[in-house]
Amino acid sequence: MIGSRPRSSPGWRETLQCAALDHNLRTVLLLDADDDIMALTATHLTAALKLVTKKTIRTFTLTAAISDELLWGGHVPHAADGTTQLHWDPGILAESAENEMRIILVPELSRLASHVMRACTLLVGADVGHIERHGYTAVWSPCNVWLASCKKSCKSRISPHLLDRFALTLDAANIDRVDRLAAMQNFVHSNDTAYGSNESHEYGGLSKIEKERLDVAATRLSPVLTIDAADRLVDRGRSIDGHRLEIAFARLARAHARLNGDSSVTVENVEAAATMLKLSSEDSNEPQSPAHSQTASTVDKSVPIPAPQFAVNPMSAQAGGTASDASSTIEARVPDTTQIENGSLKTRDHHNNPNIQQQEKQPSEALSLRPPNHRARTACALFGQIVGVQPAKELRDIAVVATVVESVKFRRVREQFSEQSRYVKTGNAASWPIWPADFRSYRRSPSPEHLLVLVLDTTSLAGWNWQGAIAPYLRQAYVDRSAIGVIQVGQGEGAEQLRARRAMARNLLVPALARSFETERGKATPLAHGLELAWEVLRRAAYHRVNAKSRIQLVVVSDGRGNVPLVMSYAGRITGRVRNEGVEDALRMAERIRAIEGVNVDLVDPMPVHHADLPRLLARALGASVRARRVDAPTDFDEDEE
Amino acid sequence: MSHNENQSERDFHILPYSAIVRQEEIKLALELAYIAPRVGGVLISGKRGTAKSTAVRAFSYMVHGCLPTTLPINATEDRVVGGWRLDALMKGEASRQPGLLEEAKDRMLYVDEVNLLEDHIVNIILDVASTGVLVVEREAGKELKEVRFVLVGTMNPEEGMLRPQLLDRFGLMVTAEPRQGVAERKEILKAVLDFDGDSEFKRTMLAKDAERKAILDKARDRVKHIKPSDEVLARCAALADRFGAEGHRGEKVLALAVCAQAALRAAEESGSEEPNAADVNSLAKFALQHRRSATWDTQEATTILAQTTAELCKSP
Repeated sequence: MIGSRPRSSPGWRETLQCAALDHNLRTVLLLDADDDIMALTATHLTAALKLVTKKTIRTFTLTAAISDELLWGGHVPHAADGTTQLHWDPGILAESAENEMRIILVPELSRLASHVMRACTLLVGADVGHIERHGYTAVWSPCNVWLASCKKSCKSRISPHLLDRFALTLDAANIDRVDRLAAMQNFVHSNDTAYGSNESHEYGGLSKIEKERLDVAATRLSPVLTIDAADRLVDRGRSIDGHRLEIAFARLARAHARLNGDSSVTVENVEAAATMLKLSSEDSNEPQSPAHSQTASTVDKSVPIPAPQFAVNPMSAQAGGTASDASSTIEARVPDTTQIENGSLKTRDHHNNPNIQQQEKQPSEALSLRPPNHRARTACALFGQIVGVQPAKELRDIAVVATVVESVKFRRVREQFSEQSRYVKTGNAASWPIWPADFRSYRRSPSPEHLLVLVLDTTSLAGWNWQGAIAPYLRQAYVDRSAIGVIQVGQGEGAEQLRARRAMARNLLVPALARSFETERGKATPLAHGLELAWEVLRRAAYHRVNAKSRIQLVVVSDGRGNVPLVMSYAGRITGRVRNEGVEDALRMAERIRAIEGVNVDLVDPMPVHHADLPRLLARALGASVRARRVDAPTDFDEDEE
Repeated sequence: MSHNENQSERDFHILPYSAIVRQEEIKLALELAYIAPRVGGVLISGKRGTAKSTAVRAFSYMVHGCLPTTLPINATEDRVVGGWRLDALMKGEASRQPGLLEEAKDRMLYVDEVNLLEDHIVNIILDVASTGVLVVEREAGKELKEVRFVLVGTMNPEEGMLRPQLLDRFGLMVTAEPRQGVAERKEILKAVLDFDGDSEFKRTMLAKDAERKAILDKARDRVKHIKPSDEVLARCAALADRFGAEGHRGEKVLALAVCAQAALRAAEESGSEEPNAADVNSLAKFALQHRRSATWDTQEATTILAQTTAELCKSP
């Protein structure tokens, strides 16, 4: 409000001061923080850190698609003393100098490219950092400070693996807004960047009392935990998901005790830490953990659908088509076993929290951190995985080390040549020319731009020419060199029947793909699971889409009669009587597929005798723009607009 | 400068092995792989925050006195298989820089977040792990070397499982379990906070680590003289068959692991050094669970173990 004095909540400021005191707490995630809040937080944190560590604080901003070289570092040639040298230019995430501390700002965590997210997962809150790149090797104890922001609505898209790395998650709604007019005036009249200045503020952002308090706290040793405090920590921390965050909670309590000058960590410190983290003192169905503070209003009361167990690289199959390659495309490992107990979903394999109350939350839509394969015939080729080097055709994406190595091979010859030749004079005998022929560029892994995913419900394929129905799609996929995914529903024996199977291939020519089209009629129809497997692939492909012209096509061949609910697919056994849960689950998964932008969906209707309306229902849920009818002749293919 | 030289002077804040609360499966698997390296390494799968990486690093500190040779997911190919030393090249000298696969020779090669590794790096590891030979033909260099290392990987299965070929390269697979009990959680908090601040605690734990290392080294010497009986081998094969393990590596690894466990038992002076049926039954899951297509079901496993025992008792 104009004219009001800038203030912020004491709890928030104390939290940041605690983070400054304990290096294990210096990974902070802000929810729904705009630029002002990020700047305010960065300023306060910078001031506190400078006071506590007595180090120079430098701020770096991590952009969405920053290159690996800028992240980790790279060799840079430079001329010195008449010679060409290479020196290692450390990246943003590398070890900082001894008297320096880096704050890594991440404006929107959910928008980071996957390779940047992987880097963050490695280093945020890590005890050890490693770099092994292009001849350079480094091992160090990371001490970077991380300050990231993320919209609550986008949080579910971030891997929980990454979210778990942030010791403190704060809701920006609890941070009072600064006077906007004063903030604008300050910004216009200063040299500050959007997220604070690279020059340290001399205790800027801290009040006199805070400064004095921190000064003293920085010299104190960490207090010891009392038994009562330990009990209270465990009691309050029962809703926290994961040991890492529970330990962070304990460290926050200890840092608070240190800030307050307490000789030991007491129950009051624990309660203060719980307040900072907004931990509820009562059990509830809503997750209250620091890193999962959202979803209060969107609890799914229906059968909970756990997060997908498979995170697949839709285009990860290797080229070549050998048997060993083929086997690599088929994911033979099934999801973790779960079981129904007392009507609630409960995991058995300890990979998920067995507390049912924490399961009933909005399903995670987080993409896997696994690297996708990309290929593009355009400039996007600069971002593919490096798999080798090749003679450079242009001065882009130059592989510096390979270029230097290449020049070294002919150095002696060229030196002799330069002495004899009247045309080539190097001038300086110590110089080291690099000729155009020496230039090498990176060879990046090609991958398909297009994707075709087929969901084959084998229980509805008998007695009609389904191969003819999907033939046009396969022909197009062959021409486009699309990646192919085939999901079989209703194959296998025993427990395998209750789960769909997915096979991915780089293109249609992979021989093992033929096996995926060999169908024997099964008895069960885990259609929901099959659609879920398709959803994973499609979502990932849509997220990593190379360019707007990349085609992602889903073809579902099914009569819609799913008779295996998702929970039974996960459990691998029939756990009770099934009514129409299988169909409902399938329709719900279909709607999730529909929500993915940029996916063309076709449904091939087998025209069943019974429940003839189900294929239409499924098509509607999928948002299928074309519903192809069954064909009895190989060349016929009708299209029916929905 | 090799890895270990570089980091020996540093003090990394790694919780001592003896201070890790519970996680007996992880500890046992790492110890067996150390006692009998031919077991072929360990894959530790588990949810976030379950001390997977901590356990591996702590174990390496205990037995080797340093961090394990680590293959990070940012590694480029030249650092994996080896290349030229750039500083020497710049002076006009050709000097090879060994890669991580060589640096890990006869020790642990640790891949954190192994399921996030780039495919072409995985392929390199697969080739070397299966043949034991590192063939490098790149950058005008050609080398052929025998390399042997114990591959240890950690992963969060939420990010996706490994390709079956890479899964099979790990001798044993164990699961890191989050501790839910109040007493255990309190114990974890106390251990971590004590380690943060208390040097006496650290000294005590390191002393325990030294004792444990002595036992493991003793077991490592003894295992060379331990041979499983035909009954034990038959049980290994029968279980591999009944559990539907693909290939034959599972039963071989199981047999080796059983010998390692017997050696450990003898070194601890807590029992006979003769491998027995109970050893096979207790380690079957470690060696077989990642080699079968179905998930490991405890109830099913108990049934299979009982049925196998009954069958083996009946057979002459």
